[in-house]
Order: sequence, then C-alpha cells, then structure tokens
Amino acid sequence: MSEGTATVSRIPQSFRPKQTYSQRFVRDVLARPGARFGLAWIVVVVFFAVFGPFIANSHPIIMWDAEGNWSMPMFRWLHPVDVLLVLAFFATLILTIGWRRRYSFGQNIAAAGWIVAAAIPPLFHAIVRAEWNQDQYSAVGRGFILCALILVTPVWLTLIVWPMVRMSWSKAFKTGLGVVALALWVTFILMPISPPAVFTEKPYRQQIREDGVTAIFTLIPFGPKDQMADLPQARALPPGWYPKDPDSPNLSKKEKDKIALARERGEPLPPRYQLLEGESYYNRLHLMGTTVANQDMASRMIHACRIALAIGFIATGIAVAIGVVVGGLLGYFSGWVDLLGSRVVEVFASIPTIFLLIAIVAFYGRNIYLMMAIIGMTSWVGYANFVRAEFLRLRKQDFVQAAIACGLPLRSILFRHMLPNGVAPVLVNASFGVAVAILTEATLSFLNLGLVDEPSWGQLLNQAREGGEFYWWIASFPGMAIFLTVFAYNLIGEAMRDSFDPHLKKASQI
Amino acid sequence: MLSYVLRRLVLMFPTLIGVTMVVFFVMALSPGGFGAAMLNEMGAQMQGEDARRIRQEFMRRYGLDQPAWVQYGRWVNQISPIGFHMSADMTLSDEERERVQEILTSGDITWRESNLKNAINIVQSIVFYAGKDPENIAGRLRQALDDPLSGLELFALVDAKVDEDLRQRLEGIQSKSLRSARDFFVERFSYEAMGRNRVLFSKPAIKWPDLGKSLNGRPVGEMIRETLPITLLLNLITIPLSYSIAILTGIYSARHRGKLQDIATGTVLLGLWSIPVMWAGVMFIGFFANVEYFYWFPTGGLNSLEAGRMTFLPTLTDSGWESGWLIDRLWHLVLPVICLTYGQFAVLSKLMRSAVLDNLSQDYVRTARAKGVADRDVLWRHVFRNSLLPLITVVASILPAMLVGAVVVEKIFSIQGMGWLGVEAAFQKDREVVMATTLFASILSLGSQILRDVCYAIADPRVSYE
Repeated sequence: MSEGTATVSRIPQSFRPKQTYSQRFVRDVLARPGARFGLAWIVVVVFFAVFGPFIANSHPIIMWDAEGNWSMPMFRWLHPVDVLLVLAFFATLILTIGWRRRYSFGQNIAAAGWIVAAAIPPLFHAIVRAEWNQDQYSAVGRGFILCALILVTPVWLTLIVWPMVRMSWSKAFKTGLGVVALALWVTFILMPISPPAVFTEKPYRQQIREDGVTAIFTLIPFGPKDQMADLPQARALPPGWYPKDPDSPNLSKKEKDKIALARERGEPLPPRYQLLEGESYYNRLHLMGTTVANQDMASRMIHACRIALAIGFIATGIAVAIGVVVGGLLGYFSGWVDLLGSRVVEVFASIPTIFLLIAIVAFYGRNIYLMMAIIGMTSWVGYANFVRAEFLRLRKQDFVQAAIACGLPLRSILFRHMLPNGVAPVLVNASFGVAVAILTEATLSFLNLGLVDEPSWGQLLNQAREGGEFYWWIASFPGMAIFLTVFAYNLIGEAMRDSFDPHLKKASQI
Repeated sequence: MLSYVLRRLVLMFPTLIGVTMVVFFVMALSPGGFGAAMLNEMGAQMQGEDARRIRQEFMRRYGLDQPAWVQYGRWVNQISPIGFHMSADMTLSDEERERVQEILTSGDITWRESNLKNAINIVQSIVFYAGKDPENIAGRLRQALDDPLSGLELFALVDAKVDEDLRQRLEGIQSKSLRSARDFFVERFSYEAMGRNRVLFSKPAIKWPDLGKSLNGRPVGEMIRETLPITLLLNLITIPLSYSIAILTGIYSARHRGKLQDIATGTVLLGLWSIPVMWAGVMFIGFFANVEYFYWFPTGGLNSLEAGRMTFLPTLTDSGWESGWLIDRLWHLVLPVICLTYGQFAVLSKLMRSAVLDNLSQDYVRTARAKGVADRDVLWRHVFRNSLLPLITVVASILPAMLVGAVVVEKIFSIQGMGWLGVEAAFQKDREVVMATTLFASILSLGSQILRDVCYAIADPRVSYE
C-alpha cells in the first residue's frame, strides 16, 4: 500500500465523500427505469449506426468459386467512415471501461493510442481503395500500405511494447491480449489484399445463381441502396420470405384469386411469385418488407440510424456552441451589449423556424451537412437564454470578481471559471434538443425536402402513402424508430432534469 | 400597463424587420438568387419571345435587376402602411388624360382605340417614372410618331435599352409603311414602359399595406385571407381542447403524486409528446380513412365535394337524415385535430401538476384544511384557480408551435391553410408568398407574447410592468 492511500484511510469514514458529484448524478439518472430504457435504446441505435455495414450489406463477407478463387468484397468496399466509426466506437468503449475501473490516465491514453494506431492501416487501406478503385490493387496502392505499415511500426513499439516491458505481469497480460486482438484486426483488414480479386462484373446474387459461386453474406444480405435490379421488380413487398410459392396452400384467398386470374389470362405472375433459374422458393427474407423503389426496408432502417444520430448530435452541438458563446457574452457584458444582442436573439426566437428551414432547403438544395448546420443555427436561442441568465447571476459572485481582479484574460474568465458553473442546465436541455433535431430532420424528409438517395427514417415514412396506396410496413417501422429515439432522448432529458434540480427530485420518478 | 403594451408594440417593429430581413436575404443570396431559379424554370417551359417577355415582367415586378438590399427596401416600402408611392401605381388625373389624348390625336394621324390607350399609358409611365410634365411628354411622343425611328431615343426616358435588332426591324417596317411602323413602335414602347417601377421619394403616402403578387399573378393578400382562417380554425379548436385535457390530467397526477397513477400518466404523456405528428397522421389516414381497413373518416380536405349543396344543419329529407355542412366539416376535422392535440398537453399537464403541488403546500391551504374545509373543496375552490396561472404563460409558446405542427398536419390531410401555403410557396420559390407567411407567423408569435404578458398581469394582481 502506498503512502497516499494510508493518509486517506486515517480520515474518518464519514468525512470521505463516497462519490463525486458527477458520479452521483449519473447514478441518480440511471436509477430511473425510464432513463435506463432510453439509454438502452440509444445504445441499440448507436450499435446499428456503427456496425450497419457489417449487419446489412450487399457485398458478401467472403465468396469463392470452384477453382479456388476467393475474395472478401465486404471489407474491400468498406468506406473510410465505416472504419473510422468502428475504431472510434472501440476507443470510446476502452476509455469508458478504463474510466469505470479507475485505470490511470496513462493507461487510458495507451489504450486509446492502440486504437489510433490501429486506425491508420485500415484507413489507408480504405482510402487507397477509394483512390485506386480498380479490380486489383495497383502496385502503388500496395506500396502505400507497406509504407504506412513501416511508418506505424515505431508508433506501436513506443505505445505498446515499451510500456509492456515496464508493466506488472497481470497488466502485461491484459495488454498482450489487446495486442493480439489488434494484430488479428489488422490481419483481418489487410487480408483481402493478398488473393486476386475476382467476380466483380456480375451482381453477387446472379453469380451465385448462375456460376456456382458460394458466398457467405452478412445477416441481412441487402445494401441500403440495393434496388435488386437482378430480381423481379416488385413494388413494396410486405415483410416475409420471397419468392412466394404460387401453389402453396398457405396463401390467403385474395392472393390465390390474383394468381388464378393471372393464369387464366395467360399473364406472367406478379413479381413476388416469380422464380428465377437456380433459385428456390422462400430463400430471401425481407424482415421489414421492401420500399416502393424495391429496396430492403430493414437494411435502410439500419443504415438510417447513422443519419439520425449524426443529425441529433451535430445539430445540437452547433446549437449549444452558438448558444453558449452568444448567451455567455450577453450575460457577461450585460449593459448595452445585452440590450442590442437580446434584440438579435429575439429576432431568431420569432423567426418561424420551419418556414426558414424549408426556404433554405428549397433554395439551396438538399445536403445532409447543410441540414445539420441549419437545424443547429435555428435552434440555439433557448440555450443562449439559459446561459445568459446564468451568467448574469454568476458575474456578481465573488469568484468571478476575483478572477477579473487577478487580470485573467477574458477567455479564461468566461470559459474556465464561469462556464463550468453555468453550463449544466444547458447540457440537460441538450437532450431534449437532440430529440427536436431528429424530429426536424424527419419532418423535412417527410416534406420531400430531405435527402434523396441516402436512407433516413423520415424519407422512408414519406413513402408510406405513395400513389394512393398505403403500405403499413413502410409507415410503422420508421415511425416507430423515430418515436422510440425521440422518446428515449426525452426520457433521458426528463430524468437528467429531475435529478439535476433538487426541487423536482421527488417528481414523477420516470 | 398601457404604456408597457405600447412600448412592446413599438419594439415589435425592429424585430419584425430583423426576421423578414433574415428570411429575405437567405432567399436573395441563395446561389443565383431567387430570380435565377424561377427564370430557369420558366425558360425551360417556354422559348424565345414568350420567355423573354415573362422574364422581363418578373424582373420588373420584383425588381430583380437591382441589388438585394434595394429589393428588400422596395418590399418593406410595399408592405409598410406609411411609405412612398411607386411610380407604376400612379395615374394621371382625368383632365390630364384628356389633354394628353388631345395632343396625341392632333394633326394628321389615325388611331386604333387600343393603341391610343397604350400611348396614353406610355405617357403616364414616363411622367411618373422620369418625373416629367405630361404635356411636354405627350408632345414629344406625338412628334416621334411621325418618325418612329427617331422616336427610339425616347426609350432612354424609361431606362430601356434599344438594341440594334429592334432598330433594324423598325427601319424595315418604316420603309414599307409608316402606319405599321407606328403600331409596332407603340406596342414595343408600351411593353418597355409599362412595368417600369420606381420609388417616388418625393411622394410620401399613407396607404394600405400591399403584400405583392405571387408568381402566378394572384395578390398575396388574397391568398393569406383564404388560408389564415383555416389555420386559425384548427388552432381555435385545438388549444381549448388540449388545455382542458391538460388541466384534468395535471390535477389527476398531482392528486396521486408519487403513486403509480402519477408515474403512468407522466410516462404516457411524454410518450404521446414524442410521437412524430407525421407518423400519427400517416397511420390515421392509412388505417382509419382507408377502404382496406376502416373507412370511418375522409382522407383529406375540409369538406366533401358535395358540401356546396348541403344545408348548414342536419335536415330530415325523404331519404332519411342528411348530414349538413356543419357535421360534414366536423367529420373532416376529427383526425387533423387529434393529430394537433395529442402531443400538446404533455408539457401543459406537467406544468399544471407542479402548479397544483406548489399551491397545495401553501399556507392558505393549510388554513383551509385546519378550518375543516373538505379536501374536494380545497382543491377545486382554492387551489384550482391559483394553479391556472402558469398555464397562461405557455399560450405564447404554443401558438407558434401549433403553426409548425399545422404545416405537417395540413400537408398530410391536404388542408389548405397557412402552413400548406408556406410550404408550397417555398417549393415553388415564390418569394412574396414566403415573405408574407413569415411575416404573419412572426406577427402571431410576437403578438401572443405581448398577449401573454397582459394576461399575466390581469390574472395576477402582484405582477406589474411599471
């Protein structure tokens, strides 16, 4: 036992705080079933957002033909963003575990360092794929990857091997595990480089049917933009297995009538009953049906998670940043700056946001980044008012006056001394802000002003009533997803607000 | 109190200017500007002379050839009740008109009726646009008619350019016949002069605010007059409804504070609040206005097609009861009103609950209880009215929020209200309509803020704004 802990143990038990304030806050929030449910749903969404391409993808994980040629298209076609997201996910996971277990700062940094180091080769790999997007990697591409590996080696040595030499055995063991995992990961990523890349001309499904190729797909073998051009073109199939057997006794009466009518007239059967050569009945599962454009709903739903999360966090981030800076300056300077600035805030408060948003999107075109920026730039007023009120109160307090008297620079007073004391209510409200941003994106997409080809829940929902038809599966699943996400953020926000505000502490306890 | 309201009203104007300026410049500064997008669309549909004509017409109507801030200034002048006259809106007095006609018909000239009218209008445009004397201009025009080719110089008076093509064409016609050259000249000149518009700073005026014309030529004021009542109707049904539900649920959960009922109500209301309006709308239409499922309600609109022939109230006819116009309208309103209401009362109910709880812990409640007043009377006679106070403050934030909610609801149920108008206008890049809806929406929200403060002061004697 080192000396430090010995000193601490001499302090009477009752004087020692068991938890820091933030730990208490987190525990308080998580004590509520509502917040726990909300968090669980957000974790599900995050999981799908990060691992979307590994769950729903048109590219098989691995495929081989009779001659022994093989390739791993899924990894080949990963986008740099996919790789980055996965790595960021693991880095956050490791840092969070380290924080929970109270590992030292250095250990956390080392752990994050692996991840960063691990990010480099696959990123290079992905970028090279994007640059030399040919059937085979060019010599230049290979050279690039080799260079990257050589450059990265010293980083690994300093970050992993050197600390390991100085570690205790148990720590070295854990670190070793990490290294092995890392090595596996890197090999995994680099593997598809070595074999010759084959089978690219035909769609994978067609090759499987016609060329005797075997492939292992991800859980959902359809990409979000895969319009299944090689399959019979069916508009909006309800959830189920396809193609359906027209002679099956399980069909409903309506379906049987339709088939009988088509046969009577000598017309081809509706696309959902058409069997392609080399295919068997009931071999494709559309878990949530298909869209009007003949894309798999489940795949689009999963890939839309990314946009929902990104819109929520980035738009709210922009709004909070603007709100904190504007509100902080108004509150700190008060006087005529406040008077003038408040008018500007008032202008932005009374602009009907939805009309402004619609006008901007209609006049400037559809773009996901523009959308995030606009949603952020039109929703900062609430945060600014919060921070302004808080700063007006704080600037009179002794510690701020002392900081001013010491001659600290303005940014230090504002951001180091005042902000940490006044930002908490803003962060609590940001949770509701995320919910509103997601709703706004869905609304814009629903009004046909959203993204065109990229999957988004609002855009899917918009297809539910097309051509006078109503497709319940296209309405229900995306609507449910938007609802659950918004509900989750609202529940978390409510729980945070209640445990933050002592007056409300005994409130509804959701 | 009055002075406070007046001060707030005056402060409204800078805010309104700011709001409209932001929206205006967002549109004006978009790539190519408002005009470019519209003209491209026009150009794609028409060719040659037609497209040129319409383009010129729009250029002049909206002043698109001028910088954005001038356009904004013109727009403000147009909607402001105190402003300056525009040259295109001015007319000659009857005597002046007669005098001009006299000058134009003097000498050796024969006029077609319509062409004479055109010529007088040209004089009128020049007089107000260039600020000249009518008789002088009429005389110069009369002279020009004897030799239209030299009259092309007059085009400069209305800042119109004469291109070489026009000169050659006129020359060709004049060499054949003076009369057709005259007609051609008058036609071209009137086309150039008519739309010319300029703010007459020398002529201040008090006038009706003019919201301008939409792209399709209809006055925007008329469009707003048609759509605003529909949105207000929706809101006037929805707000009292959501308030009464919120008050009841708020009191209910306050009475069962901390118990299962309270938690359940809170969760359900938060859940309702989180349901996206468009989802609810699509599901309602899909399931309750669908032949395949339940065809209980109409799919959209505010009235059936045959509503025009209906009596107002239900009547008994030979073929049984016939639902009148009123029932028909109400039947159409059910789904939209549900969509607008269900999400609103979560916040209100929570507010009501905390207000009731707050009041229940006040001294006067303890006194009343000590006196032996029944629990029910304490709640409904003493606490209830005091708890309504905070709900008033929320009206202000609810009204603009409803307008936004109405955008989606109106789109889903194809109701032609303000929200629908705004969205359609933004789609068609119709600047005047977008500006008008923005203006009305922000006036509504600012006005309701003032109304809130006033109500607050009336309801609570402790509040004063002096």
